[in-house]
Formats: sequence, C-alpha cells, structure tokens
Amino acid sequence: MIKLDAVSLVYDDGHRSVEALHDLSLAVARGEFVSIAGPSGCGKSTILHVIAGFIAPQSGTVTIDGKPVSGPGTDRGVVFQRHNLLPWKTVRENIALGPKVQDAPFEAQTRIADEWIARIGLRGFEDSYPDELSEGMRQRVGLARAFATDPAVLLMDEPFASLDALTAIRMRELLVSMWEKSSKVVLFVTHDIDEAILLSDRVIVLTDRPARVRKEVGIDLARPRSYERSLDAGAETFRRELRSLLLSSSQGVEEA
Amino acid sequence: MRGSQPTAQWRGESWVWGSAAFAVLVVAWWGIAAAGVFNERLIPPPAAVLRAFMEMLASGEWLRDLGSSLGRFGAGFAFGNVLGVILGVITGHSRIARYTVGAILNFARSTPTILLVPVAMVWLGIGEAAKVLVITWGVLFPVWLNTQMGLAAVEKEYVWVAQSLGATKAQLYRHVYLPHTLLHIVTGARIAVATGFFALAATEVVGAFSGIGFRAFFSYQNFRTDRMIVAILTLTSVAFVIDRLFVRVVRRVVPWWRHAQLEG
Repeated sequence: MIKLDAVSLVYDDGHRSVEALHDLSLAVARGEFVSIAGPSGCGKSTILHVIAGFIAPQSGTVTIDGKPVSGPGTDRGVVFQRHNLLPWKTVRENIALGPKVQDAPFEAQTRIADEWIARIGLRGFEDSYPDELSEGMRQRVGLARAFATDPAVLLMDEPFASLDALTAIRMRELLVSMWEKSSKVVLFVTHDIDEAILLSDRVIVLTDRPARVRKEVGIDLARPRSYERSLDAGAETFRRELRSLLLSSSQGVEEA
Repeated sequence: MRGSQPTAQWRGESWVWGSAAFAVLVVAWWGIAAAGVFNERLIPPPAAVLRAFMEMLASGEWLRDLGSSLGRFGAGFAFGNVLGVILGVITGHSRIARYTVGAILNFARSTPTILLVPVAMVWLGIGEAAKVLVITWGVLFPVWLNTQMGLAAVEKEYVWVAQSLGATKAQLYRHVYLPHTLLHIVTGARIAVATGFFALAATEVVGAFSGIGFRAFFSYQNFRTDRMIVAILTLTSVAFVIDRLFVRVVRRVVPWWRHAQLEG
C-alpha cells in the first residue's frame, strides 16, 4: 500500500546540507501497524513527512496504492507530538476541521465531532480550548481529529512521547482499540522500544543518519496485547533484539 | 471557563496588594514633602497636586488637553495600525519585500521618535498633521514587525495538519494563517499603545498649544511643579487604562487568548 523506493533526501538551507534519507526503501501493507524506530535525529520524522507529502525527496519514488505522492492529501492523516491542535479552535472545532474544509454540511461537522468527543471521553470539554486541556487530553483530541476524516493511512510522529507514563499507556490502548476497529495503516514513529513492541505488527529499525533500513523485526505476539503481558518472556526477546539493534545503530550517540 | 476560579481569586488578591503598594507610595510621597527638607515648589505634597488638578478641571483646561491628546493619539494609532498591518502582510508574505522594504523599515525604526518631531514640523508645520504623523511613526513599527512575524512564523505543523485534513489555500488562510497572525497583530498593537503614547508626549512638548504633554512642559516653564505632576499622572493613567481596556477587549474578541501573552 505504502511504498518507498530508493528515496534520498538532503536538507539544504543554503548554509549546511544534511543528508536525512539515503536510498531508503520500505513497504507497508494494508491494515498494518508499523513502527519506525531509530536513533534520535536519524530521519524518522522525515520519512513520515515524505509520505505525508510535506516535503519531496530529491530522488526515489513514494507511492500510495501505486499512485505517486505529490503533496498532502486527505487519505493520510497526521498526528504530531507538538503543535498538533490549532490553539485558536476549541476541541469541537479542531475535530470538525476536517469535515469542515471538506465541505461537509454543518450538522454533519458537529455530529462527527461530538461522536468522536464521546468516544475519547471528553464530553463536557467540547468548547474548551487546547491550552485548557492536559497534554493527554490534547493528544486524544489529535487522535480523534485524525480519525474523524477516516484516512486510509495514519502517520504518527512520537505522539505520546511527552505524556506521563500512565497517560501514555492509556493512550496506546485507545489507539490500538481505534485502529483495530478500522482497517487503517498506521505508521508510528517512536524511540520507545516497549511502545513499539506493544503496538506494532512490525518494527522498522533505521540506521544513524542518513537513514536506511537496518532491520525489520516482525512482532508476532498475540493481540490483544496489554501492558502487563508485554512484560512476558516473548516480549522480552523482541525487547532485547530491538535494544541491541538501536544501540549499535547509534554508536557514538550518548543519548539512549 | 474551567479552572477560572483560582485565577479570579488570585486576581482579586493582586488587586488588593496593588492598591496597598500605591497607598504606601502616596504616603511616602506625602512624608517626604511634609518633612520640609525640599522646597514645596520642587516636591509639592499630594494635597497640592490634587488642588492643582481640581483647578485645571474647573477651568476646563484639563478636559480640553485630554481631548486633544486623545484625538491625536487615536488618529495616529489608527493610521499606524493600518499601515503596520499592510506593510507586515507584504513583508511577511514576500521574501523579496522582506529583504528590501523590510530592510528599510528596520533601519528606519531605529530612529528615536523624538528626533522626528522637528522634521515633521518642518514638513507639515505645527498643526495636527505633524503630530499625527509622529504618533503614526511610533505605532507603525511594532505592528509591522508583529504582523510580519505572525505570517512568517506559523508553526509548519499547523499548516501541515490543515493540509492533510484537506484545506485549500484559501481555507489555510482562514483557519491557520489569519488567526495566527491576528494573535501577533494584537500583541503588536498592545506594544504600540506604549510607543504611541511616547510619541504623543514627544510631539506635544514642542510646537503644541494644547494637550497633556504641552501642559506638562508649559507648567515646567512656569515652574508649576504641581500642575506638571497632574499632567504626567494624567498621561500615565490614560496609557495604563487604555492598555487594560485593550486586554479586556481582546480577551472578549479573541477568547482563545485568555491564557496567552496578554496576561499581566
């Protein structure tokens, strides 16, 4: 469904050029939940930006269902870690933005938004502004907004990285339950090994910059997975493998 | 609304503390004046200043001065904002404009406003036009800079999110650029209240025959420190009140700004 073929991308601001992706190829099938893990600054986010159509690679091809990506589109929803919700819009307005710009009738906008608000447990916060919400609530709204337009692909860039541990656990459960009911492809950038194991069908481990695929690890653990069960022996094998892959990918990088 | 309880309570408290601080200040002033160390002409006691104020109020000159000052300020503030927003949209939009027009504006804004007063009088005489021009100048720059920043510094994530949801170019402006820029314009305008009053005072000190700034300087020439203090306190209070009003109006017009930069 998503296919990157020999994609290379160099950031060049006129002063300095940084090679973010080098000859990177990967494929994601329909309905798959794939995590992208790699050392910090290796170009994980860049992959999402390329698939989302925010930036174009200098060489290589990016296709969705065989069609080349030429810019952002409603078939690909995004959730960021920061600057995700528009601060000048309420919870309802943020979630309704997709239907609104896609010219849905006003009643439908409100109905869709309110359905999602109920689903993410934020009833009573319809008219709150993002800065009145906790970080966890904000990310729930971001999730709901991305789901509200029903995109085939969901691109998530470390969406739970700044949440406290407990909230992050809840959010992962929410995400999995929302994903399981859909047939969406989720591409999930993370640097958290446990998170990757808990969520993914497959983890793509990248090398240090410029990013290439170092190894793909299929996580064939039964679903539903839970936080408790992810401490099992089966998960431990994956954890060990991913950890050693990541550590050797980031030689010379002190950061864990 | 949620969570406004503690804030409101705190605000109430801060009001009490603020008033107390001012009361202490006035008492200290009174004490220094009453001690008789300084000539009463130099440091008139609060009562004398109050008396001067009542005189000026009764004779009508206070209200007349206030009227001309506010008229000038209002005109200059309006022109400055309109011009600042227009220029900001241009330089915020086009890189070439930023490098050319922006460079000139950046150079020009370093001019101390007070030095423009004589130039404005040479060009436009000592009438109202010269004064409004100087105030416009004082107001223009913060508004211009902030408008430009509002347009140029939109977090790319906001734009990306909207594009991914299907926003067209026009919708992008309506839902992302415009509200984001509005926030910055309002910040600029608030700063411009201060710079505008500074310009107003500068332009009324020379070549004016009315206005609070004129009154302050005229009282200096007559060695009426009490009236001078009345004039200074008047302008300070007006600038303060306008700033507060501004915050209130903006809070109402831009409700999502409640917890943002306007606090304080």
